[in-house]
Formats: sequence, C-alpha cells, structure tokens
Amino acid sequence: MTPLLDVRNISKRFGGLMALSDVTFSVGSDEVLGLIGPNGAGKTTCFNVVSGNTSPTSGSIRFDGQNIVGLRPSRIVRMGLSRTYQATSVFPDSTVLENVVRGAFTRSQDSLAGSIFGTGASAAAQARDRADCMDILEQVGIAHVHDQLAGALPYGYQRRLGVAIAFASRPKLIMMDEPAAGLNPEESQAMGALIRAMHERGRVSVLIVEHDMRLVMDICHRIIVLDHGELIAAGSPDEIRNDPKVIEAYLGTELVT
Amino acid sequence: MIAKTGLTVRLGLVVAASIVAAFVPDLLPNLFYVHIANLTLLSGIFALSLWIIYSVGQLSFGHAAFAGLGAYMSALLAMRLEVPPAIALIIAALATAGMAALLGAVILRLRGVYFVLVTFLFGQMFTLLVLNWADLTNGANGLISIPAIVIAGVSFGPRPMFFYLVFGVFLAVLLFTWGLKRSTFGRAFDSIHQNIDLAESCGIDTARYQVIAFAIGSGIAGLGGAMMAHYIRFVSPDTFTFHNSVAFITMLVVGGRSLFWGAMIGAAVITPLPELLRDFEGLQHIIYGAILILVLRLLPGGLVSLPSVLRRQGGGQ
Ligand SMILES: Nc1ncnc2c1ncn2[C@@H]1O[C@H](COP(=O)(O)OP(=O)(O)OP(=O)(O)O)[C@@H](O)[C@H]1O
Ligand SMILES: [Mg+2]
Repeated sequence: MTPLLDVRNISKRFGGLMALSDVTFSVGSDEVLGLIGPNGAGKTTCFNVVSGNTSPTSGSIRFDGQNIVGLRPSRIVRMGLSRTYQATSVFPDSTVLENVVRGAFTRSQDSLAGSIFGTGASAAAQARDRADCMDILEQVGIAHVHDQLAGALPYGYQRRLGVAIAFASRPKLIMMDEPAAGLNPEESQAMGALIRAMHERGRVSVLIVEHDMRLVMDICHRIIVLDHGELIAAGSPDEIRNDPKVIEAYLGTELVT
Repeated sequence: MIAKTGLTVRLGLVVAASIVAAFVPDLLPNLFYVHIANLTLLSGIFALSLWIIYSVGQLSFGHAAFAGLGAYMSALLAMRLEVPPAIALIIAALATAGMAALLGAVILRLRGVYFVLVTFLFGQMFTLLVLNWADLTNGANGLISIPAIVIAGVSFGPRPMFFYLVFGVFLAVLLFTWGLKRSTFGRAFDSIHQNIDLAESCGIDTARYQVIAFAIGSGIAGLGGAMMAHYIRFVSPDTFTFHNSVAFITMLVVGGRSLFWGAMIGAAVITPLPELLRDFEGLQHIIYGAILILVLRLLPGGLVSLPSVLRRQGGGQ
C-alpha cells in the first residue's frame, strides 16, 4: 500500500543555511506520526514545504498518489491535507463559529448566486455548515463560546480553535505545528486527548510537531527526529526514547517517562 | 425562512428608496442641486466599488484611472463607432474589469504600501497615455459632445432624467455589493482581509479571489466613469486624476471602512463639499484636509461608527 504522504529527499536552502537536507519520510493512512527535534531543527520549514507555503530546493512530495510540489497551498488543502500554525492563527474579528465555517469553506454546498440573492437553498446549506461546525466546536470543547469574537478568546481556546479550523475541511491528513505550545500541563494533556479523539473518530492521519514529550509519546504511533535539518532517527516511541543519538541531540540526559 | 425575510426587507427598502427618489428632482430648489445629487450618486458608485477592492485588504490609489478607462472607452465607442451609449457603457465596464483582472493578476501579490505605489503609478500612466495618444483621445483638449444615454427613445441627458438613471444604477450597485458581502465570495474576501495565510490554509484560493474583487470593483468604477462621461458630455485627462482617487479613499475613510455602506455615507458627505465651499475658493483643500484629520482623530471607524461611539460616551455599554 502506498503511504498517504510520501516525502522523498527534500532539501530546503535559505541562502547559506540548509534548513532541510535530504529528508525522507512518509505518513500512512490512519497513522499518527510525531516530528520532534531541537529549536531551529527545521520542523516548521518541513511543514511549510509540504503545505506549499514555500517550495523545496529539491526533492519530491506526493500526497494521495499525486505530486504536490509547486501547487498552491489552497489546492493542497482541497486535496485533503490541512495544517495548523505554530503561532496562534485565527480570524480575530469573526465569531468562533464563523471561523470554523471558513475552515469548511471548500466543502460548503452553498452557491455564489444563491448566497447573493439569499435563496432558501443557500440558507439551508449555510445552516448545515453551521450545524456541522458546531459539532466540531463541541468536539474540541469550545462550543459554549461559539458566538464570541475569536480575537477575544483566551489563549488556550484560540489554540483549540486553530485545530477546529484545520479539521473543518475534513482532511485526510492534518499537520499540527506545536498544538500544545504555551499550554499548561492539564491543557496540554487535554489537547493530546483531543487529537487522539479526532484521529480515531475522524479517521484522519496526523503529523504532529510538539515539544511536550509526554504528549508525543502518548499519541504517536511512530516518531521521526530532525536535527540541523537532517533526519537522525525514526522508530516507535520506545525506540526513540532509548536512542542514544536522540538523547544526545534533543532529549538530553533528562529521562523521559 | 430567514432568507425570505431578508429578501422582503431588501425589496421593501428598494421600493421605499425608489418612491422617495421619484420626488427628489422636483423637490430640489433648482437644477444645480439636482446636478450635485447626480454627482453624489456617481461618487457613491465609485466609493462602493472601491470598498469591494478594500474588502480583500487592498487599497487602490488608481481607482479614478479605472473610472477614466471606462469613460474614455465608452465615449470613444459611442463617438467613433456609433455604438448606442447604453450599450457602450456596458462594454466599457466589462472591458475595464477585464483589464483590471489582467493587471491584478500581476500586481495583487504585492501587499500594503507596495500595492498602493503600483496602483498610484498605474493612475499616472493612464493620465500620460491619454495625454499622449492624441489621435485617439484628443489629448489635453479631451473629448467633447459625447452623446447622452438614450434608452428606448428616452434621453437621460437632462439632469432630472439622469438622476433617475444614476439612482437606479447606484441602487443596483448597492444591492449587488450587499449581496456580494454576504455571499460565499464575501466570506472568502473577508477571510483574506483578516488573515491571508489562514485563508489560504482554509482552501481559499486567495490569489484568484483577490483578482475577482479587483476586477469587479474596477469594472463598476469603469461603469460609473462611463455614465459620468455621457452625463457631463465631456471627458479630459483632468476628469479622472490622482486627486479623484484620493477623494474616493477619503470617502471610504470618512464614511467608515468596516461596513460597505460607510462608503455611501462618505460619498454623500464629501461630494457636495467642494461645491458648497465654492465661496472659500483656495481654502477648499485646507477645509477638506481638516475634515479628514478631524474624522480620523475623533472617529477612526468613520461616520458609521458614530452611533456606537455616542452610546459608549453616554455611559451605557
Ligand atoms: N524564511 C526563512 N528565511 C531564512 N531562514 C529561515 C526561514 N525560515 C526558517 N529559517 C531558518 O531555518 C532553520 C529552521 O527553522 P524552523 O522554523 O523550521 O525550525 P523549527 O524546528 O520549527 O524550530 P522551533 O522548534 O523553534 O519552532 C532556522 O535556523 C531558521 O532560522
Ligand atoms: Mg517551528
């Protein structure tokens, strides 16, 4: 079986800096893959290259059997690969529900003409979108603030909203860039539970970058490790935990339990 | 259900506005005021169309040039090829939209001040082109005796008659802008305005929607420019200059950018000013500038934000 996402030999050069060199990995359907590594290792760059936000200097990326190098990010999202950002990213002046509806933009059955004239069919389609997005808000646990402006939400809720927006397009694969960044241990654990639930109920594969090792070890089937743009290890959580190279580069002497 | 009420409300407003409008030319003391009303409605069309471009987060400093493009194309079609003005202005509007789409595809990837600069340059280029392509445009002398719009034997040349026409077109543009704002396109436009990277990550083809907004906005400006040419019956390089582009932006800022009808209020406040300030010749531009500064200082959200500001001042939340 071909993997859902197949990344081969990608490199990314910023001037004299090789942010990624010759990185190869894949994500299977129904898999949760962790991508870890020290600050500046190239994790976000890897996401940006895969999502089409920047183009790789060399290498090939296939998603769902199709080459996606050179496609616009929106096109890649419509193929079923969505992402969240390391920094909180929402539509601040819109309500929480409207934010998620925008995430579902490409799935909506609302039509241009219908929505201009305000037809019944358009209203019905919008009602379906809203109901569907309320379900997603329910799932991420912020349905009770659905009518508040996203920009006014507490930080933890904005992180959840970011996940909800990315999930709303019903992706086959969702890439999450440090979803638990800045969360306290309880919130972080809840985020982990949330991602696992999304994976299990939404049948979505996950590629996750995260510094919270407990979360990563908890939810990932497999983990790959980047250091200075190079892939230095790949394996199960247990293998990674005990890999001397990984401990030296990233995990340090601190024991991870 | 909700949609139906929305539709009824809109139809009701249209009917009410039309009934009021039917009496306006007779109620105004003289033709000069009808003329001002006509110019105000034309400004309303320009400001609303500029708002459409602003709704994807881009500020065009070349809006008057697109109006001028429509004006010259329509006038030339009518004068040189004897196309009926009513048809010429539609062709001109579509052609203006087409040219804006081509230009937009190249320049819309620029953001902020870079986009502003390029649209400014486009406006200057338009003026230079019109001045120098004298064979076609009659250069600095401009085009005179442009035929009036005639539809089904009725001439819309006289000021009161033109009022009815421009009012109808203004209302159509207003309803269209309203519909567009609440449409799927409007949702895409606003997503781009608020957070372009996230919009792209939502699967919204931001480049395509920006070109669409730019083409629609500029095309409507072309339509307004064409109507103006057939109304004033004269167009020259001075009719649509950088100063007009700035005036349109001023309308947007003074009226309020956040809501599309702010543009309308801005047009209603700003357009009559130069005419009413005629007695203060020379001081005009200073007064104009003072008003702009005052509004920006006291009401950054424009005149549309006045009610909510007053409410806050009043102590209530
Ligand atoms: N647009 C850019 N231009 C130049 N250099 C860049 C650019 N983006 C990233 N870099 C550099 O590439 C390297 C990898 O950065 P990246 O953001 O991918 O790291 P990361 O693994 O996500 O780190 P963190 O854990 O801090 O988020 C860094 O040295 C960074 O400075
Ligand atoms: Mg990063």
